[in-house]
Amino acid sequence: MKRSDEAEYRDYVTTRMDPLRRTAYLLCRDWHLADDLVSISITKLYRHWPRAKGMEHLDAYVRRILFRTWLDEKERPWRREEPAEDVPEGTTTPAMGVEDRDGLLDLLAALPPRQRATVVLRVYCDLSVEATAEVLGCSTGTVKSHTARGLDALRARAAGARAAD
Amino acid sequence: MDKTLFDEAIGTVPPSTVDVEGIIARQRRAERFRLSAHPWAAAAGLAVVAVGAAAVLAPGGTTDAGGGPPGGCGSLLPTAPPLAEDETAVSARLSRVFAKAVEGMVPLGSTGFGPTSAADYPVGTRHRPFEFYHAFSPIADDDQGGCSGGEDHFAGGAALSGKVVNGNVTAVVSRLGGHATPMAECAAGSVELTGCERSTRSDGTVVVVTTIAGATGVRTFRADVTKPDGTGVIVQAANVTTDGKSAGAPEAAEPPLTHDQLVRVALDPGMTLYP
Repeated sequence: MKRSDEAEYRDYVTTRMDPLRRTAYLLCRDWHLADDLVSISITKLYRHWPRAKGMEHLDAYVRRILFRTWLDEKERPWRREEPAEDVPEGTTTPAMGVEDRDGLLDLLAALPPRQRATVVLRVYCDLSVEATAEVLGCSTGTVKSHTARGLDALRARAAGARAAD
Repeated sequence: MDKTLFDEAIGTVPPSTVDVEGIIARQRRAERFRLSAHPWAAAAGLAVVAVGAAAVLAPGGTTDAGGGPPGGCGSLLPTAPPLAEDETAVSARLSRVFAKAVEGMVPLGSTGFGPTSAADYPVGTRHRPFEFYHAFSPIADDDQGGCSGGEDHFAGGAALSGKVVNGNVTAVVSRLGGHATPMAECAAGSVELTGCERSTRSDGTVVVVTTIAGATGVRTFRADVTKPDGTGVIVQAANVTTDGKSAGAPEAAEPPLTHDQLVRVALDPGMTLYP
């Protein structure tokens, strides 16, 4: 890679480091793993930087690398994570009403990986259904379903946690 | 619920351990290596030639790249030679070697061996204790410069239950340079790493032993071995009979095998893809 490209790459990843790390942390809830995910993602970005730097939606492209890297990690047999429990069937209301943020990360971490990824993309990254589907490589219907079920599960667990207090 | 709520829940962000300059330096070296190892690629166009050069047969008659790796995805392919055995023969041979090695290290009379979810593949498919399987997925270009897939390794595991030991042991054997290449260095910022030691044997074998501490008290001992014949071996043991990444509580104080025992398993001459 040319030194000028390298300088642009360095500027880009340095500027985006904080949001990338926060997003990765929401996915895995471990700062060391989050930094590993970001490291892997920006390594992949480096390999494709000459092509990627001209993209109109470069941030979306990098986010897509990050999420797919994480999902790939989840699918490796020696790193696979199992959900703590089955997610209850829920309605598909789009209302986002988890009010108690205490334990929010615990609740998020209990979601199955793809639901967790969907909730992070839709709520934290503020992506549209279509953009989320693009990142995760699935249909918009799946995104809507994952979002609704993920948020329902968050609400149910938040309510359960409050009742237990 | 919105972004602010999540940011508040995240709280203070610790200092980054992402080494941007290190990544740049490593990628520069890798680029130089690729060009020196495959000079024809530089001369004739990396992407086109990589497809042809990489179309070697993997075990079972599949191709490394599922039709050829596009562009930069070729760098994710194993660099070690293709295998002489088919995947069934490799799996059977590694299963025997792995079982014999582990069974020789635990009290046989009081230890039971069962399947472990740590070795499920594909998801939901449980294998017999110590039974190796071939995990393979072709590398695919997502048309935007990204790559997915690229799994090409053999893996197996077992749950060990008894009065003395409780936990699981898993092993991954792969051609070096691919998706499951073992660690050859004690890298800063590795996942939940609480200890790491690296050594090189007289024959050039590199051994890295690590301890990984999970959030729920699960401890994992791991040995990463890079063999001169082109085989990479990762053997790890955790103090849970399921998956060390699950949220379950530890079932013993320590993993069922020590670091030394894991290294001995990994160094077993039979734990190779080039017998």
